[in-house]
Amino acid sequence: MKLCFLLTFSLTFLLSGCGIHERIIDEVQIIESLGYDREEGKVKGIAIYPTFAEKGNVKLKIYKTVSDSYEDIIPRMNAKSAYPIETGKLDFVLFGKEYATQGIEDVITNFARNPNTASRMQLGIAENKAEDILQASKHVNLSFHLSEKINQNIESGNLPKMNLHMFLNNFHQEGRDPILPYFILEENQIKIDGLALLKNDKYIHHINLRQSLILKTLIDGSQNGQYKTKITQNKKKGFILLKNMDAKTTYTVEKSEGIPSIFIDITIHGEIEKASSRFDLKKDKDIVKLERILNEHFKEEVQRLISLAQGYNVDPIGLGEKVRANSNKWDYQRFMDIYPKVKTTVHTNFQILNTGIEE
Amino acid sequence: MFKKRRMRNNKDKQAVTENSQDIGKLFAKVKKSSDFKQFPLTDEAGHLIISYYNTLVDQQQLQLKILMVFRETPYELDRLEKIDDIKKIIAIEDIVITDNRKEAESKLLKGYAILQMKENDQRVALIHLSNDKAGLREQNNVENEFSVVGPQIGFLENIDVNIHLLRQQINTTDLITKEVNIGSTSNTRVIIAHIDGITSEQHVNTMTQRLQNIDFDVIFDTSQLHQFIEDNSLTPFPLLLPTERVDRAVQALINGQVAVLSSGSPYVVTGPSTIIDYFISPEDYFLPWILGSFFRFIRVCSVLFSIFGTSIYIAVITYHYEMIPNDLFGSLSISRYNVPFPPVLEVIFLELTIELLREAGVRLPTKVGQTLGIVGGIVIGQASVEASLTSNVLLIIVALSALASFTTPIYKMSNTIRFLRFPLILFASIWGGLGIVIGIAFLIIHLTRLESLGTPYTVPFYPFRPEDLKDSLIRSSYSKTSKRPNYLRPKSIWRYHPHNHKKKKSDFDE
Amino acid sequence: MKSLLDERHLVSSFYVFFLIYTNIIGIGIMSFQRDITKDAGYDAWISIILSSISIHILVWMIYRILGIANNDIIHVHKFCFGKWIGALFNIFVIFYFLILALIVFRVYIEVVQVWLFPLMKTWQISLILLVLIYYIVSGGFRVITGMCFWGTILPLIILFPLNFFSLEFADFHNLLPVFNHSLKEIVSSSKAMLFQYVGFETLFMFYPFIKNPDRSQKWAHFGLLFSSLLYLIIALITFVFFSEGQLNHTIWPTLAQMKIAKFNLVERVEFIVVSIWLLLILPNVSVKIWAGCRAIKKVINVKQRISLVIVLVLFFIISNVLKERIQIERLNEMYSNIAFYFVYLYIPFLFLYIHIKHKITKGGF
Repeated sequence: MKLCFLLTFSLTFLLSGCGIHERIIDEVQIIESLGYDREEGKVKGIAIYPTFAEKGNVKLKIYKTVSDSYEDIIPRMNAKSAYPIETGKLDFVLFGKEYATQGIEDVITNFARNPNTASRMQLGIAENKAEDILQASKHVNLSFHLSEKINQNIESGNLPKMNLHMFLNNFHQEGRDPILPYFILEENQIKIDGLALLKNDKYIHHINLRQSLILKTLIDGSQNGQYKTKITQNKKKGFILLKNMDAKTTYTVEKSEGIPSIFIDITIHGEIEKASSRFDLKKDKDIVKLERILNEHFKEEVQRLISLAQGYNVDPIGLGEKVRANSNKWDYQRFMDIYPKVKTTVHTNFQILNTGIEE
Repeated sequence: MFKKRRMRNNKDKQAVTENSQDIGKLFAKVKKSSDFKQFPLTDEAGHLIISYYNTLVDQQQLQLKILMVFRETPYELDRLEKIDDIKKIIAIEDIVITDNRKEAESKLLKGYAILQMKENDQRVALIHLSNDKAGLREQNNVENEFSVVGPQIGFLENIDVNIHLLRQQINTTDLITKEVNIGSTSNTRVIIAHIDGITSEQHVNTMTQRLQNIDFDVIFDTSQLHQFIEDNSLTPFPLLLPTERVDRAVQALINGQVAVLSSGSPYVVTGPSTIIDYFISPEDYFLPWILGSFFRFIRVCSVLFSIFGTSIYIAVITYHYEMIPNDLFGSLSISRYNVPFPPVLEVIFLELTIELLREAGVRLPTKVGQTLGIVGGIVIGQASVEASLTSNVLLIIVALSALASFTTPIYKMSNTIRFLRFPLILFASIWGGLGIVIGIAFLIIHLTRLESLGTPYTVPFYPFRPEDLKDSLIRSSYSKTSKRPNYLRPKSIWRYHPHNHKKKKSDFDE
Repeated sequence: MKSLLDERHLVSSFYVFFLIYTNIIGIGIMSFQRDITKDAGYDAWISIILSSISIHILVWMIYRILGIANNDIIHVHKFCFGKWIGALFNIFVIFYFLILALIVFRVYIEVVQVWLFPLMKTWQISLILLVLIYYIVSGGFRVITGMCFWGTILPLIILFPLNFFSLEFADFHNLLPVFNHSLKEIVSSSKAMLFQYVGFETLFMFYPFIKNPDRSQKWAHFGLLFSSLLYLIIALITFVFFSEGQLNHTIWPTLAQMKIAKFNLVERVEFIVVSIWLLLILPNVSVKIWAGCRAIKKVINVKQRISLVIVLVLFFIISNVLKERIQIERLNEMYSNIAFYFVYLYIPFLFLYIHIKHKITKGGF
């Protein structure tokens, strides 16, 4: 009995050496970022891969390849690589604007189907070509820095929470359209300049960083971020720089039948980093005045953002989702038709917590 | 198989005794040895003949207690009419009068002298002159189960001293010792100790039964006995707990376990033991319970690390690179850069090096051993990293896991842990993370199947006994551990009665 | 009540909790969310509760049935239907348990192949797992119970908390609006949920192996309650983590939601999850195989050691023949239909029948 047992055991050991695909860490070529561009009707793929030759010295290198379709990109790159290309550590996929206007669904669902793909992978849209951005990122000798850039901005900047999972969630959901970070080149440095709004999987429009913060407030309720605003009052121009804004947004669907109307209540606690010398931050009167001004300002901005979205017929805030959650009969098609007409009422309540340590 | 042989042996023995009853034949046989002495005590030849192995008896006692009596003072022969009267003359407590040749032989070999009234007398007196301490070490410091706090007394090769040590602490008549002689050649004294009224009869009987069933020639050590009486020999786990610490043996006895001592062995085997016993150090009981629990917990964790550390390394590096966080990826990749072997070979190479150092360190004299450990550890490790034979991350893991395996207080368990790593390394190299879990599953099933003297090995976890968990992974305070563990089925459950003066829950400041 | 078996082989009634739990929680918990939301949408959590209640009633019935017989279902069948028809029913029971074990076993292998090693050959992994199962089952019922115990504790400690990390991305609006599905939809979703509970019927076989079986009923209900709570919690987490549209595209939602967890030292925990899941699959499959072999022994008097080897060899062959996902799914579907009738029609029928028969024969056991 025992002999038989040992026999099977050793047999399994002997025979199973073959067949499983080994992926030894230094014998695979991981790629950390991937870009897709359209170029004369063809798809151009750009991949950044790190090489770890010596201690503390990471070099980013680039594979480029052109193919008829997106599926072919990685196999083609594989033909150029000394080690098999693995997408398990792929952290960032960037699409050129031209590619994104034609739809990114295929690429993304393909990644989503692969169990190897991380759910926290970041996506992005480049202002011009993905290639330019990735090319520029090569000079930074730091691996995974592009996805870090997004994560950092989600955590302490103006971007709302997002990743591959969130994208797919919004993409498949009825009543919310996905958003992606929007990359531009500034002085040959990569900058996240706001958010791209998508309808289904197609790029529609983009908004700047200030509006991103408003959107972040509307989606997540922000906890940080910086916001600079110009104010004009009594024909005098001034500015206010706000930071550490802790915002909370509640939605109340007041009417779900017919043309829905939604009441949006935003409470923001913020610190004033700087304000025009016109305001005396020592005086309570001025603070109250400031609060009033900011209230007005935010209300206006939120309304503007919503009507902008409605104008493009995209729903990044998820107003449809709010209506769906409050109605028993939900017809997405019908909602999409009336979406531009959805009424929103915004109420903001801005409270200044403090004005810095110096007065 | 063993049973048959034993029966045949018994038959042989009987045949021998029947054939040569007489003492003369015995003498004929032992006279062949040069250290056997036989001479008459008095001038009268053929009278009062004393025979003994002069290597086994205490010369001083022989001279003082026997020769002095018969040679110096004029003694009255008439007081010695029968051999039985010898007890009146010689001032030695242990004198046996017998006509049994077999007993005479075994006693002779234990250092007794044989005294005959006349030559070829069948009825002889056996006088205890043995020199127990000769050739045995006297120092009884604990060496292998050292602890900083607490007593440093260990057991010795001398079984009587060992019993003495036990009796000093268990100062009650309930400590019962039962003696068995084992070994067809060595005829070793083996003592089964237990506390009457506490230890379950079942354990004592099983232990006695198993010991009596042993058929072997020379018993060197209790660890040999251990192997014979184990419930299952197809396991790397020690099923009975060997210890050289007196306090540990005492602890086991008062909890209701059985202890086995063997002459010539400084280790006492206690049972039935459970897996958690091997992670308990007596020091835990000498430290405040919070510290004791913490260190015990650390010990268990380090053992887990020691078993799984290298196999997890293999699984992750070979199959699951995705699991490595981005920040670590670079440094791990760099450390593997230039290493020509697959991770398995790399690990096996380093693990074997460490095992080699260990084995060599044990064989070499202490001072050389220490140097070798340092030289081997640092120089070989560093050099193999320099030569790109292994990665430096692995070197850290292997060294740590080797270190961690030493944290078990019982040496046998640390051997088991050393061994367990290798199958897991193989599993991990074949099936990655799944392989490790397959290994764990094998381990769990194996442990669940094991029994120690009929008690499940993994108790109090499975079978789950929440009452007994108080002194397992953590050591609760003494007020909580007043009961004996249930799984030992002790006859009396209370070890002591803790002061249960209820603390009045008063408000502070009052 | 005196037991028919030697005390040495019995397990105390407390372990019924673990036996029931591991028999229910197997492979289904990785993927049940999609099946139950097909009809009832995100109201499906109601159907989890509904089906759990119905199973509670069935467990109560099983205890009444077995309480009368004080033996296993094989004996009950012989008593109720006579030797020959009873044997026919018993053969059905054997296949019922074994095929269920086969499905769990094969689906787990599929999960491994999809998530861990796409190129792993089925025969390799099935061979090693079957050796493990042999090692468990040949240890007897006590060892199987031990495995159930560890298979409950370890995954619960290691895997269950991983679900909560996905709450970082939770959107509680997903659950709203509540109760916007018809009763019919919820009932049909409950029917889908039922298959997730299948496996508790092994109670029919291991009942005689419990010390004080009459006192074990509360543990059986606890085990059931605990597993339905687990289903409920995981389903709720899934519902807030995935939007309904996204859930429809996810084959293994539980795995996908654990995948998002990220630690300083480890990313991508799904590799750990799939591996450690084995500790749940093993007892699950082992109990069913044991039940099958035990039934074979009682029906045609073949030593369990022999029948076990035969069954495992068959498992090996069949799991290698079933190559495609569609085949497995078809088997699964067919089985869940049979299981539905077995559980919801046959058990109540047996319950009534044995009561009547018992009354007629005046306790003729």
